[in-house]
Amino acid sequence: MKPMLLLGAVIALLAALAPFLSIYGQHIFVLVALYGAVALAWNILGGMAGQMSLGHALFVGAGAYLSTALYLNLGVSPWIGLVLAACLGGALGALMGYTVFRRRLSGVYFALVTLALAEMTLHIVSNVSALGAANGLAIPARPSLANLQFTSKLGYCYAALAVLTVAAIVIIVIHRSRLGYVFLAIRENERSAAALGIDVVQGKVIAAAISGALAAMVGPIYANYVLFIDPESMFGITLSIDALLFSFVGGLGSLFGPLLGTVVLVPLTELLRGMLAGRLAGVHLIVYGVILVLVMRLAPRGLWGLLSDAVARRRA
Amino acid sequence: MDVLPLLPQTLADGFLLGAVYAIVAVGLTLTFGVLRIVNFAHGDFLALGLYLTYLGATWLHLDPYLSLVLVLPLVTLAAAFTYRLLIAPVILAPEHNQIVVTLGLSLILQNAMLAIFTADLHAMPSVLSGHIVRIGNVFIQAAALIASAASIAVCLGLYWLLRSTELGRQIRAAAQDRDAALMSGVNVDRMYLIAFCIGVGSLGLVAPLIAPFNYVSPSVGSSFTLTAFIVVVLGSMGNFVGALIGGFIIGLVEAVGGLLTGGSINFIITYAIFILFLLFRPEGLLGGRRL
Repeated sequence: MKPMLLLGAVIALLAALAPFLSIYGQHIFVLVALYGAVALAWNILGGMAGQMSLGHALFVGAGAYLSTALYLNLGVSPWIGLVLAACLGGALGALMGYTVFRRRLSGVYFALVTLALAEMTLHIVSNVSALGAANGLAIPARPSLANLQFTSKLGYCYAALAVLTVAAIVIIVIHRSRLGYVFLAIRENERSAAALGIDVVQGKVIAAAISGALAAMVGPIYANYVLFIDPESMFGITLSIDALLFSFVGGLGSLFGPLLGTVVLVPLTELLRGMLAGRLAGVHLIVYGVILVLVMRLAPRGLWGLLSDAVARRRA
Repeated sequence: MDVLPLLPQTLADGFLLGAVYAIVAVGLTLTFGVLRIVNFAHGDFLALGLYLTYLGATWLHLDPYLSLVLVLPLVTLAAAFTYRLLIAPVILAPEHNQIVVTLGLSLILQNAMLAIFTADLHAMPSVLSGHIVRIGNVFIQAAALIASAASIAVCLGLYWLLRSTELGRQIRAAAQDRDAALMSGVNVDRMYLIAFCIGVGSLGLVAPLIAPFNYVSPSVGSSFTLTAFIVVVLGSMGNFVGALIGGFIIGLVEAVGGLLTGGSINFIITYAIFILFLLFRPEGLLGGRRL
């Protein structure tokens, strides 16, 4: 139970810290928690089970659009939308995983399928007028707990932290169960895993379903935070690459490396944005690119790897 | 609307577009076939070539066709540096790491161009820009005709180079079996460098040719990268002739799809074909890996 206690302590600490942050600090808190949850979700499939997705925006976008469309058209509370989004994300992940992994696609072919699915969804949603087409959907600001909207940023801090906590708990539970070993075996050597009697396809499908469900949960919270969603920002490749980037920089396959990557990179982005004040659009993405290439060259195991090496050296 | 009278024009447009897709895809399939590296920054080098053409037009008042003498060597040089600095170090690394490195490169190139040139669209007119060739009821831009003819010529030239020269034989040897080639005295690293420079450098040739009838913006690259991937998978990854055929198929599909549906529904059709191919025939139309 030790990791759970540690997690509980960290979450409690963060929750206690949030009210003392400035408004700007709380904004970064929300972004870090939401992006961190997406990165953790990505890492279940990409890192723990070793199947690199280039289309995780698909799940986030599907979740955001589902809850928003239900709220705007039928008045369904986004909290119910949140649960339905997780179900939809899980179903999409399972469906995608089942069709793709049964055909034995892996590596770059899997990356391309996921990329194409997200891009295709982007263009489909851009053509559906009920979903706002290319203009997107605006959510009217009606702050109340039932609407998943809050008057202060602090409320969003807790909502985002809650999603992050769910993702973290799921990861710890997987890691401590047989499923964690199944994922590890698949990642390290599929043939040996199959020879040991592991159903490789089933294992990957489960990873995709869990990963999709968790990523989709971020969608409704994000949508109600910015009160506006459009196809490009929700299904575009930028979001998919962000998830992958935070995971690789933080440490692929380690349990909480992706979160570490988010904690370092998201504030850096916001800092750069503030410093450049709108000039030189895209500079933070150049920095991302450079960091990504450097990490691959100098520390393929990411920041988490560097950190654990340093700890090991100190103990020795 | 009766579409039949428009069909010859559409087919001609699709064919011209297809030739350009073919040459871009041939470069991608060459680097994949030889180096076994999937280059997610491929199209960004085309955007780089277009911006160099644009600079040639604004600074030196060069016609896009004249700027070819500058753009081709510069893009090839950029390819050589990219190979030495980024690609060679990960040539034996796991596939994930290679993909991430080229994705990182794409982020750097695309956003550097965005920071320098902003997101504005730029045109690069040439003396030929206004010229139209008329064949029956079909109207074709002279510049598009030149670009397509040159693309096909370069594809055939590259095919000859790979098939019939000593250099081509060595490149194919390095592609087929790295270790065996090394043991037979082939300088594999050098062959990789040359293949990468040809594959990416050919974009330095395409860019000035398509400049007279295209706009350039920082996102041009990623749309070409995606199309090139679709073409390459359709024609079998690493298969030279396949990329050529795939280019024409996608060009025609886009043109005919545009005629029938209009707007971005077109992309949905292309992606659907791509996904179906990936799922049911990932080895592509021609199958196997043949350079």
